[in-house]
Amino acid sequence: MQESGLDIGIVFHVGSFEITDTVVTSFGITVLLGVVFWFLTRALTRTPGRIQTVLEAVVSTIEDAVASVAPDHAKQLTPFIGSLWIFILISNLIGLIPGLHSPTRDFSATAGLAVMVFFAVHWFGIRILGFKAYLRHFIRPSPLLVPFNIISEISRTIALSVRLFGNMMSLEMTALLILMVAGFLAPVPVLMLHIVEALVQAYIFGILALVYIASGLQSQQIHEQKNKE
Amino acid sequence: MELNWTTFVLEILNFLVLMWILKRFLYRPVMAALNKRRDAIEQTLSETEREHAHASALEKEYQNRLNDWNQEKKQLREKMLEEIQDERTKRLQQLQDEIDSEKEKAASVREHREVEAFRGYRREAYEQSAVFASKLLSAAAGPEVEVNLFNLFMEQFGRLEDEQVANLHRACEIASGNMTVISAYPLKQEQRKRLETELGKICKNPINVDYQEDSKLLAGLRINFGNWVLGLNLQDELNGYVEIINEHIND
Repeated sequence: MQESGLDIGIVFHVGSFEITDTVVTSFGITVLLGVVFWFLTRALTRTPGRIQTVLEAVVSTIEDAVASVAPDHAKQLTPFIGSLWIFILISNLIGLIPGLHSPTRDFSATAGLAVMVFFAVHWFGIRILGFKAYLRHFIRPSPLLVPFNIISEISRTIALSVRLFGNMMSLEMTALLILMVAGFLAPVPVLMLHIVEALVQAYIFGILALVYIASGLQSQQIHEQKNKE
Repeated sequence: MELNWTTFVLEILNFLVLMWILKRFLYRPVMAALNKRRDAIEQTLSETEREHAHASALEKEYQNRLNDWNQEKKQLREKMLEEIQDERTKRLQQLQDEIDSEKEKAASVREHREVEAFRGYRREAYEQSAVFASKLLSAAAGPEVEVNLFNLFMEQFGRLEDEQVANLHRACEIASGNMTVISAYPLKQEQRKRLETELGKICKNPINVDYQEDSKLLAGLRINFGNWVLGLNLQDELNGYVEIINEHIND
């Protein structure tokens, strides 16, 4: 499978740790985004140019999307959700470049992101609502549902990681198989599908993470509002 | 589908670093720029609303001021019209008074002119009548008229009152009896004698009569002694007539 390009290649070792191409690509994306955005935002003006307009449109769109789900906490959630969207989108699309592979076709990477979401849900919940108030939503509507809530938290995290991994891995496998079978012209529609799939999967992962965080916040807030009424 | 824990941990770290980088170099500066622009827009809108409110207040104030001005203008205009009307009435009255005065003056002047004209006409009529009378008497004058006048003189001389006689007597004394008798025609001897007789009765002293002739008298005679002049002749009568006319004219 190493020769087929679907296996995760080890680039080098640091002691007993294996540094895979997934990690290298992810680091490369991080550095690239950091440099690009540093360069683009180093001199923002009151009257925006084309690039500034695009940047403002991207950030505003992300903030609006977050605000549509969690209007009261958009400013706090936007960096996390926006970073997910941007990183996953770039990670999904970078596989189109010959010689590079999408980090999201590696389950270790998607699992790491899903775990990040898992902890982010509780982090934002505790930070915004408070420790006790947030944990109280696990016993709603009945303490009997605590195990199911915990299972739900874990299962949706696994689902989140497997969904992204499965889609991106299958997409690359499909493209590879078609390339092996039909030559060079046939993969073009598949590449177009790859772009669409990359956008959709990035959106789905980010919006699900947002919904998980928002549901943890709003379920408790709705209950508190009912108690006040 | 293997889980590489090194990759797993490094991906988490990588994402945390990426999130910090994006927050530092994307969200924060862009949001700051957006907020700054939003604040500027809100400030501009606020200033615009404030300016609008200020402009509205100014408009209202100016409208009120304009209304006040219009009201004041209206009042001033009405006052001015009243003053103009009063001034017009006053000037009309003044003009009417001047016209009346001028009419009175004109009437006075016209009356004066009429009087003057009447006087002129009367004077001319008198003068013409005097000239006419003079011409008539000159034409009618003659020795017979003089005789008649002499007889009339003598008749009136004889009917003088005592006071008149006394006065003539004193005058005769002052003149030492010297007398001058002027006649238009030579007096006859009889007439002279009769005259001297009558004069001698008045003077009661010898008299010295000097007879002279003056055709200007037209007819009749004139007697001068001292400051007294006695006479009955057409010339003196005409002169007296002219004096009377002149007196009437001057009246």
